[in-house]
Amino acid sequence: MRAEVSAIECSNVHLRYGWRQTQALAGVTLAVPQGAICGLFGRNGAGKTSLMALLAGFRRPTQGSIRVLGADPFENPEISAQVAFVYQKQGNDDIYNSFRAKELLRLGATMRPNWDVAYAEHLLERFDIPRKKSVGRMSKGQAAALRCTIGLASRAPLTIFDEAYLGMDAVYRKVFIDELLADYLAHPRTILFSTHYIGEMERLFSEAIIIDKGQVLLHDNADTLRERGKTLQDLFISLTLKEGETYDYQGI
Amino acid sequence: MTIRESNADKTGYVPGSSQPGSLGVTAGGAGAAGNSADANAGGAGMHGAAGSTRGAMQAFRWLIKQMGLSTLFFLAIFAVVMVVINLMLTHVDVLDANALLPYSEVLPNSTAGYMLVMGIVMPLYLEILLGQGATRRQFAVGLLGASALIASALALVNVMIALVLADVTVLSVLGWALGNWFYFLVGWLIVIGYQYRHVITAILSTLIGICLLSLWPLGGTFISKSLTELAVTLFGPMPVLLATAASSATTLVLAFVVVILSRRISIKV
Amino acid sequence: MQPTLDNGRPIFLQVKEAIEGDILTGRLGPDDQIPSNSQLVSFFGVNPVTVHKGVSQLAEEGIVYKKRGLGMFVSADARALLRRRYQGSFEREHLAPLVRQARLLGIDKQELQELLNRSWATALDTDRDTDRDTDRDTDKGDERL
Repeated sequence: MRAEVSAIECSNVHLRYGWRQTQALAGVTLAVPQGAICGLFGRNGAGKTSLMALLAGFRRPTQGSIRVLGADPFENPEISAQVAFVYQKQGNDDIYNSFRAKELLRLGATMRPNWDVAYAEHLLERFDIPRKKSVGRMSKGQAAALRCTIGLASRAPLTIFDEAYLGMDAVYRKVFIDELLADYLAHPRTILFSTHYIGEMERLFSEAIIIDKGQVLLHDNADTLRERGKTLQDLFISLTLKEGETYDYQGI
Repeated sequence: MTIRESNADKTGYVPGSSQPGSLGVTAGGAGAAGNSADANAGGAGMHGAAGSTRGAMQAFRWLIKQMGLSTLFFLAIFAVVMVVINLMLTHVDVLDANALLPYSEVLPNSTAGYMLVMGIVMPLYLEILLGQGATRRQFAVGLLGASALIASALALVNVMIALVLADVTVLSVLGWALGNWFYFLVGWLIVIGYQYRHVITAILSTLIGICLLSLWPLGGTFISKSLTELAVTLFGPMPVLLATAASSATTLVLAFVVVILSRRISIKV
Repeated sequence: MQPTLDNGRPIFLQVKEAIEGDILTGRLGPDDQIPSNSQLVSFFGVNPVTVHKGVSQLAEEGIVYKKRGLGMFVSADARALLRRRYQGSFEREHLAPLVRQARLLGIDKQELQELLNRSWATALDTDRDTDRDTDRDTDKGDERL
């Protein structure tokens, strides 16, 4: 795989599912270069998770093409090994919850070519994750931190975080950001990061994608976007408000 | 503004090996070759077709571990239950306990039932392995192998019990192993219908599954003895060998179908 | 803990200004090494590309220079350069608002000058007390008033 290959390339991607043919993605075209930390913002139901699931090979697009690191990610052993998808399953996940932290770490060590055992242990300590507890018996924050740990320790060339730290308190979120940046510096990779805490995380991103109703509203370099004079959060809100709603907060 | 006074490394972790400039994507495939982290990973690097097999091996090993533990539990519980019931019966002095509960039938049936349940539960582990970079095919192949192994192991247990209490032929051992595996595959088929997230596929797979269970034609050691007799009535006495061949073929086809169907499962996150 | 960054302005600019601030106050002297990109990333908690952009601009403007394999260093005339540049915008950015504010509050020119003298004297005292006067070039500006 050559270095010039984009980490992500989507071409007119549509995703419809269910007997009601819900349109999750309606023509998404974008390209993310390798090595970027890319923020993905969107309201609930905008299509963020659907897009990420497609990139991770969890489903296939109804239409259009997806290329991850130059190839179709669906049922592709080489690509799957290089993509880590960190997410929280909706609803009950009794099977996952029955596993203990150390078992999940061991699984990661077995399956991920770039896994770093010492680093995983370091992260466990930083997040105060109990090794012997099963996920179902951990607090929400600990479970989220465990998922993030596995995601970081995998050192996958494309790492996707889908609101991965939902449930983590402010301190752990900060620890996570620090660890992410530090490891990113030492082991560069492409990171796609969806979050609702835009304000808190915006400085992390080199580029930002705003997605709304299954389409890409905006995709640009983060600093370029800031030259419009607004924070990314304000920009996001002003772009995705419904007709008739206004957002008039003015600072002093 | 005191940048100079800042602590450079807040996290306190010293990365084991820095890869200057590289993005972890090396020519020819995944994995950072020569990385000290490789020593810690079970399998470093996946290349081409070999990658697929290696992934299946890893899935296989992990699934064996998951299934093995619960199988041991099952056997232990089964043994305890059987002993207790036997003791109760002999104590009460009702009947010859062995006539009431012929081990040669109870154990194989229970084992098959257990495999059916496992066939329903194990495919649900797909999502976890998918999340760790496996493909559906690697998972399916790994699960095929793991379930075949467990099926054979349980058949051996049957043999050991049967040797004590009844007679045993090579064919009956094969029959048990195949039967166990078949029941697993049927359970798996049923679950796939649900994994497709469609009411229709769920109903279809459940019905087909039930039909398959009642059609298992290998003489007499399974639940639907009556249907076996029916088959004999309809088609004449089947040479045992032919019956075995037919059942083997059915099982293999089912295994094949299950792997193919697994490929199209969408995971809803 | 982390410096508050105004997310509404390009962050690379703020990183750049932070370094410039250190140069102006003298914390970073001529030919001193500025913090590495990694250190800046860690300190600000921002994307490395952002840091790189800020530092690159400093290099383009001649404020810092690169020593191969070692890092970025403050140019000998960095402080003078910065002073000259910011002196240019000093009146527009600081004085004009100051005057406007004073008039808003009803402070007349004479009062303003007295306040100015007082503030200046206080500043001198503070500098002397903390012994931070790291003026390397002969600068009689302090004595001029």
